Amino acid sequence: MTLEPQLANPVELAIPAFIVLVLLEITVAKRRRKAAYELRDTAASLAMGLGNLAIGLAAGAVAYLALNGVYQFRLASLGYAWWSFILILFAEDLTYYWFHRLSHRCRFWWAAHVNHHSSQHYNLSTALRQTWTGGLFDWVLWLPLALIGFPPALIVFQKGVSLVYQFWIHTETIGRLPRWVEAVMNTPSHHRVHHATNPRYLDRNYAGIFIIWDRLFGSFVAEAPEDPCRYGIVKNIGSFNPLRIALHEWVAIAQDVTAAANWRERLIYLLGQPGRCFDFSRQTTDEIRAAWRARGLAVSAPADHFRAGT
Amino acid sequence: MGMDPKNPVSLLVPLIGIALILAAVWLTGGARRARIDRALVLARLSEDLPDFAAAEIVIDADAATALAAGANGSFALVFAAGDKVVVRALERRELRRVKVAGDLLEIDTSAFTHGRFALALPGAAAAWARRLAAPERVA
Repeated sequence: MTLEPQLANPVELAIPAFIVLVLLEITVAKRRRKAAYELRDTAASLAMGLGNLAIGLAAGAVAYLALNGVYQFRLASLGYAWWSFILILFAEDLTYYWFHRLSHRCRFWWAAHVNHHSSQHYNLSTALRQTWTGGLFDWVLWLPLALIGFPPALIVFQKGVSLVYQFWIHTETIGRLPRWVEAVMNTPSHHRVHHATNPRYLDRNYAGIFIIWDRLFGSFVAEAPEDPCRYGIVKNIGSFNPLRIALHEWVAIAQDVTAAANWRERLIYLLGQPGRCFDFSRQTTDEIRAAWRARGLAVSAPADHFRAGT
Repeated sequence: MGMDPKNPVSLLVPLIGIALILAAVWLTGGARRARIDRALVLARLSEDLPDFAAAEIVIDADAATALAAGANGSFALVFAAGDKVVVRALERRELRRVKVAGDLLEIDTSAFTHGRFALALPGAAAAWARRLAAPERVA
């Protein structure tokens, strides 16, 4: 069966549900006396979501044209058979995993993604704090799916499904889910880890829908009750201005590239790991984690030594 | 219902939703600010700047911003952003201007996100300004 269905945009369909669920979470948080929402933080997240929607209308058209261009050279015609929907679910999710991992490990991509992590709160409105600049270029990573033979409309549809799925996991209202769910699916617990700045959690759990990719590629860390998540970014921005939220890392890159001593440094400032520098003024997440482990070992060393001696 | 640029009703849904959410946050006490005290400053410094050993801390009169001097001559700022707290190592290369206006210590940095700070420090503003401007300060 290769019907050409008119696929809906899942994100647009989900907007009323997003609104209702945020209102519900605000109510639940109030009842539990948890300070889940702060006015300016929420306003900033919603403004980012609205901006993303507006920019997405234009950038999405370019992405769709590019997908169609590549689709002309497809290796197979997978069409809209039921199994195509199953295949694209996993293929798109794997693509998302690597896109997301790149977005944390390469500064150019991080500059577009960092705004999603810039809130020090973690609630459903944080899910709406979406990029304003990523849509201009991040679609290139989905082009191989069109080359394989997935119809562009199906790819765009699945990207929407993934975004809608990831909305509900941005919450502290839900604790742990049954073991089989936590083993296979990306859950609020797994994604809290992803948004946390505690050294043990940095740059972990990149999953979109299925957590299996993190388990497979060695980037999974479970939420530890003894180490409650602290949300935000390593250098929190302290601003609720959407323009500053959207552009601050791009400005930082421009400042670093301008001040760099040579082309090697410029290239590393642009494409290296976020935090990489040449004046010891900041650290990468790997360096932060190594320092944290070293401090932990320094603290535990006497006790270990004592145990070894007895 | 999908969003159609030609259909104003569908465009109104997100806008009405935003208004409802912000009203709900405000009505449930969401318009609040963190109040900074010494214990909070020390706790946040140990989390965000574990190598920073605070030798002296001053908190401004409205408990919104604190300035900490490190044992090695470095400085850090701890300030409220909504109901959360942000920690900044005050790098020398980021420092643009330090000015005293009465009891107000104004610190202007090159940070794009939150670059300007004004601390009400009755009787202490000038002394802290001198310390910040001291040439022997290690960044």
